[in-house]
Amino acid sequence: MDMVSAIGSTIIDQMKSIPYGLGYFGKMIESSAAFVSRGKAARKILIMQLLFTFIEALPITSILAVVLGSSIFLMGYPFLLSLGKSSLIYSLLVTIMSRELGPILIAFVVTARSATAIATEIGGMVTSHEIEAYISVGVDPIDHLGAPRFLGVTGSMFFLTLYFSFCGLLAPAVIIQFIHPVPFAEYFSGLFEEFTIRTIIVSLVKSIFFGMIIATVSTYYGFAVERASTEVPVAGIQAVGKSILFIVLVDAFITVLSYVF
Amino acid sequence: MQSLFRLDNVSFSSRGVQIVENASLSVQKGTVTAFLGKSGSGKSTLLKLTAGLLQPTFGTVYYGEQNIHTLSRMETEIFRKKCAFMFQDSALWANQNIFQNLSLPLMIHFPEMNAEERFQRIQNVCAVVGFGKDLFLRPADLSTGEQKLAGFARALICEPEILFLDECTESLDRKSRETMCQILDSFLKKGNTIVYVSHESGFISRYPGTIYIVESGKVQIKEIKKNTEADA
Repeated sequence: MDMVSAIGSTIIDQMKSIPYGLGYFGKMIESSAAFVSRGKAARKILIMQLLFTFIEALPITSILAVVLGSSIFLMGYPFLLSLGKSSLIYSLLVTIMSRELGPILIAFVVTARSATAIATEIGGMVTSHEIEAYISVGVDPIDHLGAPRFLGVTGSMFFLTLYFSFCGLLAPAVIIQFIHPVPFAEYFSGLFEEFTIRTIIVSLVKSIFFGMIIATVSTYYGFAVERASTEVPVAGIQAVGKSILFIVLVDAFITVLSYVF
Repeated sequence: MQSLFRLDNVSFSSRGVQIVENASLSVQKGTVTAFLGKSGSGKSTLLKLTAGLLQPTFGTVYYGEQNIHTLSRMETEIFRKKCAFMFQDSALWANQNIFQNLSLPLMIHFPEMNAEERFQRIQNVCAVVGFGKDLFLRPADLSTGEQKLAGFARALICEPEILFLDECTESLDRKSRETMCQILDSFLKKGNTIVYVSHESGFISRYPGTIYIVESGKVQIKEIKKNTEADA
């Protein structure tokens, strides 16, 4: 009975935190929208966030895209060729790289790199009273620390997803020439036939939502640290766990929507 | 006399631990108010509650007649320009150098000020408080005492009317302490307000004013003492 009541109270606590979380998300959107006009003092934070989340993630994104794109083609092409459906490889490649796996894989990379970094950095600032120092000089910490990270992570997710698709679709064209040579013209015409506006929209919508989730969740858990430095790594773990949970749920929702409509 | 700040049955707890309990007090304009008590009695929390840095769990903190936590964005900006808080641990922004630490409040409250004017103002304030180190060092490159001076410079940079000081003389050498006291003397002569927490008897006897003794988060005694040095 104790266990049942413990589960019940956990669920009630989680339910209670939903309106607060949504309010925080709303505040983040409002602060980010106002960032252009009143974010002069925090532009450096935005630039540093783009540098860390986008530029520094390019090498790992390139490797993942090239390896994954080439592997899909090299494993799928002979199999589909044996079934007489070799043209399906382009549909498979576009669906996996741009529409389904690409955005979620990049979201996991960004979560692993940036969500922990953001949550622990902000959490550390709470315990060292730096957040109180911001408030004391009249700076809203969400405007100054949250908004540039929100814009930086969301922008990075958007561009990394584009970059992943670009590399993941183009690189196999070169690599397969050494194993299963396919004429470039055939490869690109097959690819463009499958690459629709809907694919691009779904891919980019996912990337934007994932970016917003990662930034909101990680800053939320960073600011939620109260006093002890032992809370900081816990905030990092929670930021990663909750980001992944929300990313998977939103991914499923957008995917279902995209196939229904 | 109208209170500048008024705490009305304010309580504050964190993770189930009661830190301040039913505190009611007031701070008058142009006076000195001290929160004294043992370590861990809740003085710093009370100071932060008075300054509006922490939101009470129960009760209300008033700035003038208004709830400090329901001020509009514009009112908050004006209020924050008028007050400054010096933290016990300095709370300098670790990922910014001292110049940037002092520059941010100016960028917020004096947006019309250009970079050269900001630099000039920062240099002047650092000279006044006796901070002689390179402005482009980060807080981690400074000693605790130097961090304290940089924190004091940050508190003075916007020429506030109200100063909240949390153990401001801790870790400072005698000369720096005396410089700080001279700055505070002239600050008070202008009719400004100081609210502080301190354990140092020399500082307390120099700035007695209204004293609140804090014990286990409860405001126990209120005494009004006159500055004997000033009287003499």
